[in-house]
Amino acid sequence: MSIPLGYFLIAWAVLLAVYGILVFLTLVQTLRHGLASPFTYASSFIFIAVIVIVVGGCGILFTNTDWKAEVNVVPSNISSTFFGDMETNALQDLQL
Amino acid sequence: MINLSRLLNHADNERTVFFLRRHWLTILPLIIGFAIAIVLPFAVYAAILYRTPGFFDDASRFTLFVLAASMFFLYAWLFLFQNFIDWYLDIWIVTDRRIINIEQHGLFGRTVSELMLYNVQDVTSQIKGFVRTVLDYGDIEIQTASERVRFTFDNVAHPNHVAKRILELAAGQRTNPPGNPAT
Repeated sequence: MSIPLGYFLIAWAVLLAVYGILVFLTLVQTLRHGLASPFTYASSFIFIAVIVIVVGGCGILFTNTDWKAEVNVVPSNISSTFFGDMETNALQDLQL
Repeated sequence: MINLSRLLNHADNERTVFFLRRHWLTILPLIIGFAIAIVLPFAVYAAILYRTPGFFDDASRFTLFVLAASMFFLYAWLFLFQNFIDWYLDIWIVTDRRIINIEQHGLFGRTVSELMLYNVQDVTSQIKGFVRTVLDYGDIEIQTASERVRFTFDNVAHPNHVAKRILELAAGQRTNPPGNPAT
């Protein structure tokens, strides 16, 4: 079953948008109710920095991606990867 | 933000005696869980490569994997930070006049309550278990004249010392209440 890669990018972007809202709310609560100390600012900064690094890294990685390419989400050899050799299994079932 | 020098209903000459949080060890399981969560995408990647060496030859599959792994990591990171916030925003402040209990319940639940020290009748500290005994952290229960326990400090450091000090401060407040001109 092949699905264009772009569809997954859309799903990723939607999840990222939801994530952005949750991050915003978390930061608002942290800065509103946290103790007025450098540790509060430092932890918030680290939280944001890690997110920026991950999203930025993905952005760089995705610049040369062909989003029109189709990806086979269930490749032919997946059955042997996770369920063993299906043909052999079927033969064993028949022998039983 | 909470400023210790400008607490809610701050009285003149009120002094902060203790600023307490749950012991750092209580968030250790969360940090270990997060460390496992970080390793998980790499472990899945390695397992797929081990079982099916050519699986990621198709660049589309690799991109798909990165999309999934990055989203997994981001949500795991958010989960860790929100739990850290839950720990970080749970605080107990003991001043020389009152006890302020601030509890964060998830992202949107917050309880702030306070108790005047002259109302304190009984303070119980409890350290249970090997790790708690070695690292000296445990619970403190503060009771007023009412039947139910008013405040519970969970997993705070040096509970015996804190309980003793609260009792001393409460005794001091009863003999010299804040409204008394002698203070």
